[in-house]
Amino acid sequence: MELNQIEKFLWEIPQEGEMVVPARVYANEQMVKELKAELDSGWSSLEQLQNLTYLKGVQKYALALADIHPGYGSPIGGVIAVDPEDGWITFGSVGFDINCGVRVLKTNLEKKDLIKKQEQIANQLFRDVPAGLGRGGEIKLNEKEVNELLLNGSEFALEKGYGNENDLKFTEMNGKSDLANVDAVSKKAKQRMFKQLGTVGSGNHYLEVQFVEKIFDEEKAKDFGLFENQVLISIHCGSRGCGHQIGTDYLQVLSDATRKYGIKVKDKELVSAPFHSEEGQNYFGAVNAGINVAFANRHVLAHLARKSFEKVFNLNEDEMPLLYDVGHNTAKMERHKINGSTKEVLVLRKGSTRGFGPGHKEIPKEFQKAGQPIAVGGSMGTASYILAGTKKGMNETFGSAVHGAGRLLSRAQAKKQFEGKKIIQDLKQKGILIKAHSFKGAAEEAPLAYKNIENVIDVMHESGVNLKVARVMPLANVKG
Amino acid sequence: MFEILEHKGETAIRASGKTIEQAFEEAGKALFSVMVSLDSVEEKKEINFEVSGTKLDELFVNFLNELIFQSGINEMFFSSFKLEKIEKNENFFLKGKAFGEKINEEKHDLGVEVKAASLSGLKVDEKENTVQCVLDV
Repeated sequence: MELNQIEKFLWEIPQEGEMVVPARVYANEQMVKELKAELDSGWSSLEQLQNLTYLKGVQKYALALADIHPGYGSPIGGVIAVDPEDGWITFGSVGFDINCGVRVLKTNLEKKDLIKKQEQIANQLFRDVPAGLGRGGEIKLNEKEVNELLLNGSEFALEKGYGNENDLKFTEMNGKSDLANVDAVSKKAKQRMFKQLGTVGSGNHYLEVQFVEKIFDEEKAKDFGLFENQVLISIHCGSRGCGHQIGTDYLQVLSDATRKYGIKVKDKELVSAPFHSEEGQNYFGAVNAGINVAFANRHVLAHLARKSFEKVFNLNEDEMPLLYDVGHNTAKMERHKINGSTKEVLVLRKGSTRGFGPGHKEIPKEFQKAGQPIAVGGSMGTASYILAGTKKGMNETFGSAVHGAGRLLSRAQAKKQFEGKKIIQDLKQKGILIKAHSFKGAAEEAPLAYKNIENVIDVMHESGVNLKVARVMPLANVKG
Repeated sequence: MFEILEHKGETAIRASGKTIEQAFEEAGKALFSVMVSLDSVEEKKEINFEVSGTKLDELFVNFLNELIFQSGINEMFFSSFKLEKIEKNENFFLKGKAFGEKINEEKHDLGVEVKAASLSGLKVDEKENTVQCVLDV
């Protein structure tokens, strides 16, 4: 495969054959070496990226950010913008965990205050916040309520008495997609939400207590309300069983549509439908209902985390405001500049965060100057970052950002190399408490199983696409 | 027989049997082995299910996803499966039973939740009676 360097940290697979557009990836030379080595492994993220360039209606280029790693269909860290008039919507660029994302709460506590009650807050969160496999939440919903949840997202959770108005203001899309189609969601998917609102799940999902270790940009940090040693609460999870089931249901619908419309795809998981077909519209409407579920889920989880902090530190809700909540597996309509003119496109992000730049009308007025806050989750026990969206990112990446460190080792390799209990002990020595429901899961999420997040962040920062605002370090982590 | 394959981002499974139905049953075990130590799951309760698919390989993925659905709403782990012969009319269709018990964090050695089975890396070989796919975890 030809891969040409077009800027210091930007590489391009040139358009050839039936490719509709070229492909681009943000990476340093070491990353490129690793990506090339992957080519013969059978699971290559570069090949997955190239596969996206064959989809009808893809604009400018198929894109991957510096946290690129192999997924199913699209690589993780992949973004495409599709012309809705004649383009296709593809399953692989959204995946099963619809609107999985990160919500970050600020507190007025400092690291030194937290450390005094570190064990206590870790245990309180472990008790109060349902996490782990098969663990349902305290909130029971009936089908009518699930319909309202699918339609109204965080607004539903607010009406149920969780959180506050500001939580909506500081959530992407104000916590609600208006394009949700409840009728396009199956009974099965709704059934899976009866007990799962306000649950973390497992795998790489977590709730983490962190502190701001370093500020890189004083002005933006001030606009975000961040200061050194400040304690933050970060929640990483998605749309739970409901979102997974929406994905599952539409895998068959889109497989059938792919045959019906004679669509040729390079990977089975990229099954697609014309965006304006019945199948395409139903899928889009169902995904947007899933987006609402994830917003509401993180909204309720934030409420539970606040309750834990109220008990242990006697804080009130106003002392734990939301910094921002943004998703990273989404299908949305956005306006972007394409070859000189601005038009509405369908943006599909798979393991990529929306990161709008300064002056964008869809971000709150408090961030008009700094750009949208972007929470980038590290691996367990390592740094996370708060970045800011830029105008350059609006032009080059359809306003998109990295979402995490990206895996280096497979889960199986990680389990062979690491032992969950040992990792938890080692991290405790470093002052990081891990409360895990599964030791195997902890081994799979071992810090060394992930790429060095610093390199990923540096590539994006040096490119000027996403800018560093603050580095945050973990103090306590509740894992599923 | 089943095995877990290397895959950097997700987890892939491969299974085989004397018949294609048996390969499906083994793949069901592979799926739950990602979530829990199968040895720790007792067969206390059975759940009946039915699955259809437009093609045989899609039936396979739909079968795994049905097991994930049943596990989710019944809050159960399954450790073995019994399938009737796959029927082929206009579509593919199968009926089966899953055996297991309620999820119990104290008792079960937990792994990670599987969000869904995907079409990625999907292979169903009717001659060799082997099946393979990537799981989203």
